[in-house]
Amino acid sequence: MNTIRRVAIVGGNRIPFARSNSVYSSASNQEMLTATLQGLVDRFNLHGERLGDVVGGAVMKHSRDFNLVRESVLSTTLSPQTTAFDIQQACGTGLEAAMIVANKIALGHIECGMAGGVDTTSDAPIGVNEKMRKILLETSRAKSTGQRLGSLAKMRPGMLFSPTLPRNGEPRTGYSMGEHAELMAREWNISREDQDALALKSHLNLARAYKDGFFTDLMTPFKGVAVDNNLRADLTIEKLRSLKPAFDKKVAPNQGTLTAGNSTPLTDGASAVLLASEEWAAAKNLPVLAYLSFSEVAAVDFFDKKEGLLMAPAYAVPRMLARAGISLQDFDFYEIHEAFAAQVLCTLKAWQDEAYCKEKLGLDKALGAIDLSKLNINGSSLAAGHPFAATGGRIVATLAKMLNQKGSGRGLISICAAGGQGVVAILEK
Amino acid sequence: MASSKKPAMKVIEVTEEMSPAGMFLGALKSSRKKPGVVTALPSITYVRPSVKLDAAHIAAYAKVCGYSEAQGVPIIYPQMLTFPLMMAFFASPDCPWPGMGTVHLANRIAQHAILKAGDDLRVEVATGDLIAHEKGQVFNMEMKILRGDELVWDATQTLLRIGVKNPAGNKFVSALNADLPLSRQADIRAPGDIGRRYGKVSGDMNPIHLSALSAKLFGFRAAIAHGLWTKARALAQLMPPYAVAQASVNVEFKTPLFLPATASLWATHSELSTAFEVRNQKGDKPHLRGQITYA
Amino acid sequence: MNDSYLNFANSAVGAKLADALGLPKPIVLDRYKEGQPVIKGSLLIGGGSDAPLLPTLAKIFKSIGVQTVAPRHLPQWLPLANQAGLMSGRWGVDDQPGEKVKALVFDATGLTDSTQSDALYQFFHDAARSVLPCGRVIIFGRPPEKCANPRQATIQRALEGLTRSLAKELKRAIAVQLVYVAEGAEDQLESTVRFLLSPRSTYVSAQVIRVGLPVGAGGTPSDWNKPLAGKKVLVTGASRGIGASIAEVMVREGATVICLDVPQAQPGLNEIAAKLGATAIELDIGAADAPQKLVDAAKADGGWDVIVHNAGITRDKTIANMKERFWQMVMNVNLSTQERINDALVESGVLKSGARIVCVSSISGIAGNMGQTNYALSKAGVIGMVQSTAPVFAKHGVTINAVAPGFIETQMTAAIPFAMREAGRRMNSMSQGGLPVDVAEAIVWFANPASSGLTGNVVRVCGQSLIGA
Repeated sequence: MNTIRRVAIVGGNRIPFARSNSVYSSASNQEMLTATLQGLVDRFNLHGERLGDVVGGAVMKHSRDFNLVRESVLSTTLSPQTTAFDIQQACGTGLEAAMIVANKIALGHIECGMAGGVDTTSDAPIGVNEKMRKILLETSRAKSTGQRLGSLAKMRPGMLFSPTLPRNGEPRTGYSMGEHAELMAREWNISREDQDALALKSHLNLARAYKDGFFTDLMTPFKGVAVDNNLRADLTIEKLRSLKPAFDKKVAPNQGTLTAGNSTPLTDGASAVLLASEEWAAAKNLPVLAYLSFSEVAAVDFFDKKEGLLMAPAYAVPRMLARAGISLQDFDFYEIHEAFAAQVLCTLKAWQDEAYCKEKLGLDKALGAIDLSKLNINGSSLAAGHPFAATGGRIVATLAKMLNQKGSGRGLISICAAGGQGVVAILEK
Repeated sequence: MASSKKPAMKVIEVTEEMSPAGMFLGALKSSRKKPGVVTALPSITYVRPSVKLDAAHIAAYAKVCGYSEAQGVPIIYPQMLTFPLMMAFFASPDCPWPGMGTVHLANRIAQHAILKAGDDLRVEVATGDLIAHEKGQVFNMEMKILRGDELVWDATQTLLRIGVKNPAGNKFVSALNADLPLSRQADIRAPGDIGRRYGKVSGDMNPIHLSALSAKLFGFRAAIAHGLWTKARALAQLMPPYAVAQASVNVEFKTPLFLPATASLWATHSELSTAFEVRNQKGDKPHLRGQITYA
Repeated sequence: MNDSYLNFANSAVGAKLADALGLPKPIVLDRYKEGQPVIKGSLLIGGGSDAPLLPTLAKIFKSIGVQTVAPRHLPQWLPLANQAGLMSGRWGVDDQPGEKVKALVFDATGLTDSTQSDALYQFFHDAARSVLPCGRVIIFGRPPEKCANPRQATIQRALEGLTRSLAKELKRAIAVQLVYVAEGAEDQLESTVRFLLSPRSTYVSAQVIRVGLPVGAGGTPSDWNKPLAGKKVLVTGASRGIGASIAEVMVREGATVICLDVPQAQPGLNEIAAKLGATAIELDIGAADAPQKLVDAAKADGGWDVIVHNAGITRDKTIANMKERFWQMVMNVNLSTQERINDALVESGVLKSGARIVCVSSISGIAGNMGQTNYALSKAGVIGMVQSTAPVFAKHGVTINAVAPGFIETQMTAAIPFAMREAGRRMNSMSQGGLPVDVAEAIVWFANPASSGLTGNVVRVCGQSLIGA
């Protein structure tokens, strides 16, 4: 193949996102991803169709789900001959999956594919106590009954009562994501008031989008739920102000600015997008909402160099802009994933900081400010919630539809991920 | 020590240590005072010429008020040193009103240098202006602490004698903005015994703070937290986790905090200042409002 | 008025005992509370391979704000729903039933031959166990009498049997209705769909409703919570029981109410009028000059929009023992009076185009009842009057419909001997009596300005009573 083709975003689908341990508490990753993929299949009448590939993943995964995406595909009405594989790049999983499928389409290796992600923290894998795990493994390796009993005898009741729960913490620093974001907010001097204001805007924007019916062809109801249940349409700034800081104990005692209101909660949900070559979409008489034109990834040294853990998108975006030959202001929409209001505000502030842009990002001058009226105009993760691997698909589908509604234009996607990574992309129409 | 501009000022040195009980008795005796019309306070300065900052006492104070060791000598701690002088003033015939029934209305503190345990300080409390308030007579007590010739700390304690008719002075005006958008920061737990614990450390053994029973004797439905404890507790939470050289704090006391209670701390931080309130648990009634300014 | 068995069977001990003894376990019925959404929970939509009503339904569901799901056999629903701005999805994954739903709606209007009934089997077979208590089932068909050919008319008529049987099978207070919508009358459906999906129709089950071309001036209410805003409504027999409840619900729906009753009922009448801020008229409607007095009153009031003939009397005796006076009295008040009043109001023009007449018939008029020859004669006559005058009044733009209450818990039924009362209460698909408000809800549905497609209907509010089925 010697030409690179444009990659069309045909459509997207997701189930409503739900706060952890609420309405989806009994739903597994596979159930949620299957329902999401099936909704996409139904919407574009792809029953029995063999897609080029389906790529997706989950951040929190049971070991039995090693082949999660393929198993989900087999549960849909897609052709069982559709291949699928799992990836994992923390909160970047969904967008990274879209990029992988897009690259294959661009190179002509496949004609169409789906990219998705799913996460549940309600049905999260609970690890047994580390000591107990070793004993159990030893038992299973034992050759005789006597050996087996011998190793089992080492078990203590206490091991049962202290299971290892999964946590969204950084293994290297021992800080949780929220604590890292609090540290960043302190470093960039981001006020609580600005964070609360951003959170409020996210909720109001998402509520308005629902009211306008924006999501009707981007979502499939699931378990009787049709709206993200984290959304508070009646949220007020007073309510946000009344919340107590949630991540200050270790990193900024009594000076905290991050609360449950301006941080995303643990969320369950799934999303998927359908990508294709223009020829395939035209042959199937399917719409093209937008094109995925550029992508970039970056990582920061948050351990030795003490960079802000969630600052990687600040690095990725200018590198992508340079390749695209455009400036930060050349966008009609900005979709910056709101892991924490502080993360968005830090990133925006960093891009306006001459010193940071020169010293850290290696630029000639600051990238500058963006028009805030173009930021997350149909709400983002603070309101919708953030099922880690599902956020990328939500944003791609949302932005593609916005570009399609506008008729033409360009949108920026920026997603920060655990491990000091960032995944960013440009969508165009 | 007489100032050149003001009329001759009386200076009284207080050197002997008074026991808390003794101070309280003095204040209680003073409650028989029945003043006539007061147009100005006599110009008097009470002085403790040499007070050593005691590490153990600071530690005890910090513990009761929730300060960490790293925060150094709390900005509000030096006010402890003025307490014997305040009691001496209330017990003396120079104070026209009894100590009992006088409440804290506001308090302003400015610190100009870092204090350290072992510092030898001169503590002064002088009578200040009269201010008219709708509920009675307000009067200021001006406090100064010097280390050698250096003024390291000064404060104005604004007190209200409730029930004085036709109070003298200019009208009382609140110095703090009540309309700032504050966010809830934390809960402040004020346990039932906090009045007794703070009383022990500060020497302020006013029965309205000690127990529900003793408070009821004076007409309150429950014991009330010391205003200066509530203030100290909030500052412990709000001020940086290291010793600050220069800062000032302005506080107005709004409503009593009945013990035991869980109050809430609300604040908004800007670069060089923090506005804050201690409110009830629901967050709709302020007990105390204040502003911290750095440098 | 108090159904203590219902309360008992819903207590912890009572539920066990009722199970053990095989006693009926009535469910506490959902009832409408002001301002609540039409339906709480999602709706599963089904249809034949040809389902021409789906676009209309998508529009109505969007307006109502109901969330829908569709089984895989109905792939056409998703694009239709999305076009209408309705979020929708697949019900069930991997051929497994999906989540529980509050309502099933099946579009059978496309069925033209009895061999096409498989679609009905498939849908209801898969979904029967997935309806929540107090759920709703609506089957849409075409009126057999207007079908183009006998085959189509036959399968459409057959739907009645399915509807009534489903109502008996699904139990758990799930109401099942058949709505025959005439071709071209699709736009007239919304008020009926809203009523049937909502808790307002809680005691209406196994009914056949015909929605036809619009009669007179109607319109969509700007506020579906106050559809009768600005409307003047006369309620006869309004001093107590069902009448008082009708007046109350009319006021809730935004109407200005005129309460009428005989002079003997004055204390109750004044009380209810004062409570509702309504006007009270004391009038013996049986009197010869009553129609003219009402015309005059209506003219003075600037015309009325809705007339509810609720006033009725019983004088029970077997016919052999019945005095002629009681015979005549019941016939006069319950039937002849209504005929005279309707004619006078329509002919004088005080009922303008878009006006509604709603009559209260009775299950006795359908099933007959021992000792009620006079009453049943009059109430069956009400049905006759509704059906015969509907085409006549339609020319004036006036609709006329009737409700036929079954066992409704009132002071009147409280006087019935225990054994008979219990039989009346339990011998229906809901295993309990209805409340006056259930009758009132059906009446305000007919009175709705958006109900122009409803005329000549007789709908029973009886919980699918076994009597007169």
